[in-house]
Amino acid sequence: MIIGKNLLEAKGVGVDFRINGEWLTALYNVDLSVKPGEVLALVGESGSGKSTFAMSVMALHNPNQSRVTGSIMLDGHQIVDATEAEMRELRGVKVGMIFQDPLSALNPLMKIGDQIQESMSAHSIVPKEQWQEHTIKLLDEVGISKPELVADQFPHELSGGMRQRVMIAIAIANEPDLLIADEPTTALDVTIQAQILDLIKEIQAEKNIGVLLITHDLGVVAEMADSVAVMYAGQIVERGTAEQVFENPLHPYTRSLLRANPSLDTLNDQLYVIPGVVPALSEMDHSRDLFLERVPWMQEAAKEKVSDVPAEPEEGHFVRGNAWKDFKFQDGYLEPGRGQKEAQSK
Amino acid sequence: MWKLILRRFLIMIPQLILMTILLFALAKMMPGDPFTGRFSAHTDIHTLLRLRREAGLDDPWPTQYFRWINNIFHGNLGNSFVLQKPVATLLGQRIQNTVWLGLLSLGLVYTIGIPTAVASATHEGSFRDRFWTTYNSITGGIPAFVIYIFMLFLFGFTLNWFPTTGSVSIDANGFWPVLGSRFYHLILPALSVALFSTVSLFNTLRTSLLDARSADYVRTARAKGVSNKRVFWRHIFRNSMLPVASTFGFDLVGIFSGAVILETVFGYPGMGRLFVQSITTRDYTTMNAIMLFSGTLTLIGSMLNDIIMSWVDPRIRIK
Repeated sequence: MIIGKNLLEAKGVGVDFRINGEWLTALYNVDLSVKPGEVLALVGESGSGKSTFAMSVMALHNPNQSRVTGSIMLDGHQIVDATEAEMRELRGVKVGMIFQDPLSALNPLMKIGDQIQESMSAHSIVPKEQWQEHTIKLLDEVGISKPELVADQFPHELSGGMRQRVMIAIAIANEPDLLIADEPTTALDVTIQAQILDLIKEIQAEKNIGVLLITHDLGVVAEMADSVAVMYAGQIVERGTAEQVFENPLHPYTRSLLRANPSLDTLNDQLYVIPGVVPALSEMDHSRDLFLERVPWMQEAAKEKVSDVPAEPEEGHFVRGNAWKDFKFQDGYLEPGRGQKEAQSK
Repeated sequence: MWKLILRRFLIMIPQLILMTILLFALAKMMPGDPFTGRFSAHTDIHTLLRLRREAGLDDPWPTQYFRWINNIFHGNLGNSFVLQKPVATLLGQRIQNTVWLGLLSLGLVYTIGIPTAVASATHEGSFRDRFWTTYNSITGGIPAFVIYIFMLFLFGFTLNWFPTTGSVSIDANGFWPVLGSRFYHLILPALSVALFSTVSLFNTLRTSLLDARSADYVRTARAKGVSNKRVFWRHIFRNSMLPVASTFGFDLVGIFSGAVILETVFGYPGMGRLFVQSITTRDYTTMNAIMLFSGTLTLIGSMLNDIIMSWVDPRIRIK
């Protein structure tokens, strides 16, 4: 089934954090892959472990407080047991990263131009005499209209959208093969979100780079992604091509997420809400299908142990556990959406 | 930048005027006058009244106020009635002593405070972190005069390592011996300040280093592949110095205004000691001049703070 080499290939990745002297599992048995030029969306609620995975690819977890197991291959380099010096050569060069809040992610005391150049100065890919020129070119590339002026400005002088463009310029300064975008539009205005997504898509297509897009916005996924991985409680519960996952969602969690997403067709209906929250790290038993705890009519199935090897009901479409086989929504159990309730009471 | 400095300077003028009015009013509200202390049973009351009139103390207060201001503008701070010298001369003698002590103390506080805070923060939870944190908690908790007296007693009187009073030895002659002797007299008071006054610098810097370490922009820098060393100095350390820089203006002018308790305990003839002396001997002219001087310094210090902050932090630059 493997066509071409994977740019990023994660196999059985686990991440444990030491919290108050106790090791707790945040990621469990994560399998993922991104091909060159592919956009993979990693979706899930807050606390499901999406960012934890991204930070593992960058090896940016504090080594004293965390431990990463399994295998993460990035363009032929094993990241899990790479030394800090080896990782420094990969960060920025093989993989660039964009963060959620572009204001706090930029150093308030450094000029935009200096922050972009720092990316180049960390590696010897762009020769020193071209830094200046390359900085202007990058700013131009990410759609900033007066690049010379902006290079001389500080982050607080720019708008949120401009800052995120600058972050993108920083991430692609050394022409990485993989771009990790960790909720790149969450902190932005709705009108700006689309522009930033378009820009990422444009850069991805132009440079044919792989993108790992982390988001909880299914609209973003539908617009951007070639393939989708759905994460819950530190595990991948379903993955496949975007078409497979959107047209034929299998896992109860994926189906609930899609159902909870408001759309124009469902505007007048009650908004579906998944009851409860992602369990705390200390309460996660990864040998079971953890989402079922939040489905009122599946409490029996929630206690069953499930295999770590996902089922593959259609080619390239993987789903974890057994519950997907006969899962049905039972509306009687579901509380109406909060916003809906308020609207009704008015 | 120059606009900001000019603007900040202009703001200082009304502040200064207000301060002089306040000082003048306070001086007028104090009971007695410079002649009261020299009043005895044999003094002719008419002589006293004549002296008061001649000194202008019977004039209406606005006249007195503007005369005082006018004198200050002409560099005339008045005469010390107790020491029988112009106050300006007195201040001139004391200020150099104070500046030497202030410079050395401040220099030592920064050279001790910054590296220990960096060592602590970069090895959070380690033995050296616990050592320096504990050290600063203890020294920060002891009143300064207790420490000064203890240092003076131990190294001055008991071990006889350092002189216990004065700023220069009487026997020192010639440029180098005098300089050496001055320095010798400075060491103990300056060390006492340095070893025990690092606490606020240490705590401020350590906390802000620990905060900056987990800042998002530090993560961005690391994601660029920047070396840990550069991440630390360029991002963590530099940004952590902001709160330290925010009080640096006051530290700088503090060099001139003198340390009252320190100079008194160590018998060091600086501004601080002169101030205490002028209070205990009711030497109002000297006292007023020193208060005016330190008040002005404080205003300059706060101006310097604003200028320094706008220089190091682009976010508060005014366009």
